[in-house]
Amino acid sequence: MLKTLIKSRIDAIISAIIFDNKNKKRRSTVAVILISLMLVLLVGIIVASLSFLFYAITLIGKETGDNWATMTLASLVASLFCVIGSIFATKTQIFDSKDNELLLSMPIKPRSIFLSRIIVLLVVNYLLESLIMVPAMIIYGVVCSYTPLGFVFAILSYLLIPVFTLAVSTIIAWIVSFVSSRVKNKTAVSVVLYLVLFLGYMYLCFNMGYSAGSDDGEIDLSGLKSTAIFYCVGEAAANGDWLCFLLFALTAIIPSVVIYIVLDFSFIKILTTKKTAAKIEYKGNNQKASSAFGGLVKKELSRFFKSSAYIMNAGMGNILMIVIAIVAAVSSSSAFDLVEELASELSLVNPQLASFLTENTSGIFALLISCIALFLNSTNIVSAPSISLEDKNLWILQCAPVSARQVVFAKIVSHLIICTPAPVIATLIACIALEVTVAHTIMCLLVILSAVVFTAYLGMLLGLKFPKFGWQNENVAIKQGFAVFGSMFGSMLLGIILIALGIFGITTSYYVSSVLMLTPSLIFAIIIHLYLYLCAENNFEKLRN
Amino acid sequence: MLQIKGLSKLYGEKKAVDNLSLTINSGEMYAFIGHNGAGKTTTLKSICGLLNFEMGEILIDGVSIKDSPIECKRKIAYIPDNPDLYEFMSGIKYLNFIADIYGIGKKEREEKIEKYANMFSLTADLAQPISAYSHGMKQKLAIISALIHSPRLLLMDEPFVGLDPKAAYLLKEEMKNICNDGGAIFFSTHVLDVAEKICDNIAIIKDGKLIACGKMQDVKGDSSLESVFLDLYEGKEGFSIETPENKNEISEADASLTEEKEGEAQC
Repeated sequence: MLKTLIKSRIDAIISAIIFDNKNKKRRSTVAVILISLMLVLLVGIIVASLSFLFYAITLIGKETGDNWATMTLASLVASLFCVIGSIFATKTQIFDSKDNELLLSMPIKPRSIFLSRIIVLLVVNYLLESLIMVPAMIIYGVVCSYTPLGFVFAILSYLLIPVFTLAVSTIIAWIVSFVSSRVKNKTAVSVVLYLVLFLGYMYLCFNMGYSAGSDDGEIDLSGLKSTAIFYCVGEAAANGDWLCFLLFALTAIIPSVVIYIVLDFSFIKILTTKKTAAKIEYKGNNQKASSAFGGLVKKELSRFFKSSAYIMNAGMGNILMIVIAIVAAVSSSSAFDLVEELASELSLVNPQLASFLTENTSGIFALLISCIALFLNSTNIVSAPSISLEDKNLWILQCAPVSARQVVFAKIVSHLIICTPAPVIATLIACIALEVTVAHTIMCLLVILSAVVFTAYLGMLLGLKFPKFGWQNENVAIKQGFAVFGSMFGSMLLGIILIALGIFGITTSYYVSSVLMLTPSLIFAIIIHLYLYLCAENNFEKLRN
Repeated sequence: MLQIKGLSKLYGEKKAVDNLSLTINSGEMYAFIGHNGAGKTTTLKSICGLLNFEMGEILIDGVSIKDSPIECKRKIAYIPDNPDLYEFMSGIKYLNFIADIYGIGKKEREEKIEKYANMFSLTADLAQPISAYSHGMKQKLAIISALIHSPRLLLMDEPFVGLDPKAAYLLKEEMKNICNDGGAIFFSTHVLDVAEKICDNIAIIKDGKLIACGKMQDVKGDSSLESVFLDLYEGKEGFSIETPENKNEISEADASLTEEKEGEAQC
């Protein structure tokens, strides 16, 4: 029975790749190959960039005698990657799965249902972990070589990490599911809970904080030691320290076993207990009228703000921007000190560059703010999954007396409404804190706003061209599919090009830099605008069955 | 009000609707019956612009749904068999969204929301998220959203499924009111008793082809609709269909009771 349940779960994952839900037929071999190649490319980019990082860390660690650093960092990143990657899937597949009731009505042991979910999630966690741990383990082995015991501990750690992270995801998902089912404002509570629990987990990972730098300017990896149990993984793998491994193994196994046993016993109770959400009272008939376009925009905003998964996966950049801006504001004096220190060190090697640095501090800070905002903006992909999210509701818009153009532009406007305030506020906070001139602040704002506009249009274009229909839970539409990846990586790629142009332009002034940075975004946005304006009807028409 | 001329819809090689012609005038209530997969939903979806169709023409008040979809959609309302509504919205937000889309003013929407929500006993639940609604409540909300913009043509796919007896009765009364006010209704159903009781007209579809249509009394005669339906589906003889070729030969009474033959089926 367990085998059948696991098979049905895996079949669902495979059919998402093989079947085209938009056209309700099997994808052609070419399409499957293209999708597979895209996945390989995506995995390749992640593996290559992390391998580069691990290689650098391993070399430094070897030189400074901190051999443990590679596996410590790898296990830490893998653990965060697994928790981030599986937290929503855990909630939807274990606690909110649509087939829970159907399966419970059949002669299947609840334990089998629970285990089938856990095993599939575990497999997904192993896949996610492998992207990080496997390159790190190979690089460490090639550069430093393992002791036999160290190698065994590395393998065992690799096997234990997903077990531990899945237990963490499961308990976070259970808390969110339990609390959100009993409150009125589910979305806000869910978002806050996810953030608090995730940050709490990170805090525990880093024990009491983490600093990779040292005062004397030398690269110092000792800060990684504060990553508590992950330091144990590094130490065990590098030096074959059995005590460290035992500590890690016990920390990973004991809480995981307790969590799995508790959930296993309470699984049926969790699913069958009637959730007593407070009823929202209807306070009379005082309605507000809007235009059709206004109604469409309000609907999009409502969809975004009513879904914690949508907020966390497609609007995370907004939250991070504000957090980073506040951090910048609090530690602005350190930034000035750093520039001063850098300038004094450079004055010996390159006096010209040192004087450029001190004379153009405002422009350099503006460029830095632009770069960070451009990078974070690429994670704000609200428009990309918006067509996929229509799916079963698409009939409402198709029956309504509104044009496809109105629908498409309402989604773009909604993206702009959601993704504009945070970058503007964050930029203003950072610019004020770092004493960026008014003119530079304005240019900085224009650079960021042009990137926001570009991302909105790119997401809409890809969403319209590559919708992901036929999903069972909205996480699939929000997190998967070419529209989402394309939009994120497209924005990231353009961001990298813009940052390169910005760095090139800063040698003249930030004005040149900012013009170079905002022009491509605007040109691409205008091109997509014209395309959507002319072809939205045709593209929307193709969405009909 | 509604004219369907030679409608054909293909799903790959399969003809879901084959050369279907039908006219519904103002004030008429038409039931649309047929077995599962006969082409009822495809026809209804084609009328309201949800599906493209390969051949034929659909006119609403003389305006083609293909040429002027928005103008046509302003006059119609569609209730699908399984109303998938925006689950992230509350009932009242959904009704306001629909009212915005159809350009209904503040006062009018307030009056209509109050009237229909009270009528279908949904007022107390309007602030609840739609995700918390039962199937019947979703169906009621879909019905209210269809009624608040006073459609001239109401298209419904199995509208009584999931409704409690009181709501079903009220819906039937409202359907009669729409027809009395000069509107028209075209709905599919498997509940033949309901069709027999409330409809003046009936259309029967089999394998995408219209096999009978016309006045209820003319189609069923002294038999029950159920027995006529089963006879037609089993292909019993004694029925004739109006085609361009035999149009003049079939008497007015006979024309209403039709059997599938070669050529274009129309009503």
